[in-house]
Amino acid sequence: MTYKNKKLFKLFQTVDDPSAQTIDENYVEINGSKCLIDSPSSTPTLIYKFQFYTKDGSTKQSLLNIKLQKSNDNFSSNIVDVPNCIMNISGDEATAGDQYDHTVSTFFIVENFDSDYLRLVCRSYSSSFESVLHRSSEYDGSAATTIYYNPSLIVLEV
Amino acid sequence: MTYLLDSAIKKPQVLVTNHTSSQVTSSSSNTAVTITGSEITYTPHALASKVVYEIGFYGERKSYIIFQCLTLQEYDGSSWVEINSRFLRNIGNSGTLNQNARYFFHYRFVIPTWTGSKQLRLITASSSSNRQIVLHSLSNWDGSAVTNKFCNTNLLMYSI
Repeated sequence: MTYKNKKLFKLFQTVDDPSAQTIDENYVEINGSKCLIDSPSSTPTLIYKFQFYTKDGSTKQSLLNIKLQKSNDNFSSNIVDVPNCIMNISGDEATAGDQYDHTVSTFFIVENFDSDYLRLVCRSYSSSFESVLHRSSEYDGSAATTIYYNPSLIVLEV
Repeated sequence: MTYLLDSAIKKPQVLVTNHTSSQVTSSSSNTAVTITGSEITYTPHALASKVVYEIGFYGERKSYIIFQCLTLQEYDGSSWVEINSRFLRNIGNSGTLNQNARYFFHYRFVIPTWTGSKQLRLITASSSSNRQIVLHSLSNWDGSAVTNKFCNTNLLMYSI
């Protein structure tokens, strides 16, 4: 009997001291969420886990639309939404000034993955909402401008 | 040729549930429902020391308060029972009655292993009435109210 290790793709990555991303009504890639899938399988099943921090922006209210996308050309021209890998994130936004600070923990399973790249993109629901990613403005009882939350990504082939 | 899987986790099993309708939890107190997509039958790896039940699903409620108590259950051969009080979770908000909230729930339970197959599921209930949550469907997307947007429930089980 001959044994051979079958390598499965796995990736662990983070972004250190990311710049703040201010999210308006246009979809943008969430810093640290993009990865190249280098699997020996042509149609792997992937576990995609990404964590990042978000808070309300200048509108003092936050409602994020978030979706997973795939591409075979590093999102140059081929950009495809992964079906039903979407979510909204908001705290209370019934009253103006309802602020929301939150660590978002995404967890998607992508079966029969047929592309090369994955990433998360997000936008604010409307101009009434604005979010800021990766940075907090308050910490330890004081206003702060240099508190960064490093996003982290884990992708596992199973 | 025999392949040895070079995996960080042992014996993974996935369940992806593609929803086409929402699931509303009970408006009555102490009335549990099973979260659609949370039920699975799993046999641990023979060398496992623990088993991990990891699930992601979406829920929201507009213009009211949410409060839910989640319980991880196993089927003991005759009925569904709580595995252990350590495997409970509370979720919710409070305050005025017109609260809005939209969450993606990602839970990981690390539980003792067992021999053979076992069924597990996640149920949710509230200790008070009218604290329900709408699961799996998104009511707002890209600037508009919508009725056709759903988030998969993703369930991963593996041995460690």
